[in-house]
Amino acid sequence: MKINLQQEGSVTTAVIDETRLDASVAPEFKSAMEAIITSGNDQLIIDISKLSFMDSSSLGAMVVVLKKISATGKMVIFGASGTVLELFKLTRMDRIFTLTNDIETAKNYF
Amino acid sequence: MNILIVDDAADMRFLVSSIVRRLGHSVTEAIDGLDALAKLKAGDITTIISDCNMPNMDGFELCKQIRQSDFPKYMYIILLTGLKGKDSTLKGINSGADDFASKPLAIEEMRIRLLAAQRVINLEDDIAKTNLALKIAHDHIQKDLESAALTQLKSLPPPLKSKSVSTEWFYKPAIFIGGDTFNYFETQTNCLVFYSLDISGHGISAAMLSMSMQVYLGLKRGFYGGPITRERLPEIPALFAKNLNDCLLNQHNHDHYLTMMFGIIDMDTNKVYYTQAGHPQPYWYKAAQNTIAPIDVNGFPVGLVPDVEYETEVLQMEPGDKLIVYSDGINENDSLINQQPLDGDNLTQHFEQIKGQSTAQMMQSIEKEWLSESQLNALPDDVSFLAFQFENPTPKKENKNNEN
Repeated sequence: MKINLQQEGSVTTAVIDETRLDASVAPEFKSAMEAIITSGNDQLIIDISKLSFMDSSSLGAMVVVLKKISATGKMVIFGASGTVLELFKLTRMDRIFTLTNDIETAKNYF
Repeated sequence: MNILIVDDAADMRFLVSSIVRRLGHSVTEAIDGLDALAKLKAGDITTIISDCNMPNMDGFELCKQIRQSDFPKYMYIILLTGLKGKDSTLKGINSGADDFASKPLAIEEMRIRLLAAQRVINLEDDIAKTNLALKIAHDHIQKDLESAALTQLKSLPPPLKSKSVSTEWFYKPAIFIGGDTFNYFETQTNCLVFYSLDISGHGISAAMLSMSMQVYLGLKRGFYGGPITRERLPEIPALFAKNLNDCLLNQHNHDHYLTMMFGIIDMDTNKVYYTQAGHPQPYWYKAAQNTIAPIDVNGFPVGLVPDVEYETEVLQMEPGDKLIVYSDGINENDSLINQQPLDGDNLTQHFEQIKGQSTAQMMQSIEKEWLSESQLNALPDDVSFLAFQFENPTPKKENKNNEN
């Protein structure tokens, strides 16, 4: 799977360059994100604006990533929309994650 | 090696055979392609040295016939080319030949070509043995999974027919066995406890957790916080979800979590007390209004985040009403009817079309009309539907205040 990293000061934006996050890529997504955090990027915006589908395995992976980063840093999810946003709401994960659809707002969280 | 020499000219056969024998191989002879095919079928031969031009069946056709045949081992073919070597070589490659030797034959050249033949045959043999071992292992795993699938299917409850409520279901796992499961059982207090759950991910490890949940969620496990009495119905579903959440987070070290709809139907009144834990929003068919729509309710999944609050919701069901609980596996499929994903408004429209059907017919429609057979055989995720049909509530007063 493709994840593009952009650095702006201390904030790292991980752009998920995929349209689907499902059970087949969730483990890869999780380990890739864990590696990004381990290498020192703990002020993180995850840009999921290109996603049109996300399943429960990927949501689980997202929570693992959030737990990992919460020890030292912060994470914001940018660009959830459509069924992806509905999944966050259905599972009340919109209350656990910081979600925003505005990139400037996302940057202001740090 | 046992090598088949194919040539219509007896003197050439004799010449080639004597060279091959001098190199330490045994020889079988054939006079043309047809004769060669018959001898290949009869004997344990893996290398053929054939002339190109022969009556009945020439060397090129022999190559094609061998490649189209289903011999148990790879056949290595060396074509003998004459003066027009280049043309024959091209034609030979297209026909399936492996190598070429030009006439007149030199013994050293033939030694090298047969060494190459032996190397390829050994490689092909190794591949065939590996493939066979893989096939045996694959067949074994498949048989095991089919047996496990049957066990899992048998762990699901038969349709319930009570005076107040009846149930029907449809269940199809993605890979033989699935992470979806559901169950329901009547208590002595005239309640029907039910749950539908979906372990995140699918495949063997999700199915194992799903099966262990079937055992875990039985009445004697303490998730209910006490006996199932009518007075406790408003608190049990949320408490059940909370206890299960604590248990999964504290006692299990794995990446799985689950979404769930857990509820208890009071069959004295047909009130449904339930908690929605990240499961898709259930559909409610209201008979009096003849409407069907998803219930706008949400909740945290179980085993994902610690110390979250769950809520018990209450529905009052009327005679003829239906409640359809399902997992999100259906959402990843395009409908056979309109080729659009079976989620959101499209799913609601599909339910609108079948809302008048009995729950048994609804399950049939989902299986036969919404999804094709090929979709059902290659589902991206487990698909499960559990449907309740409500009739007149039938109180059992004599049991009313008894514990389960």
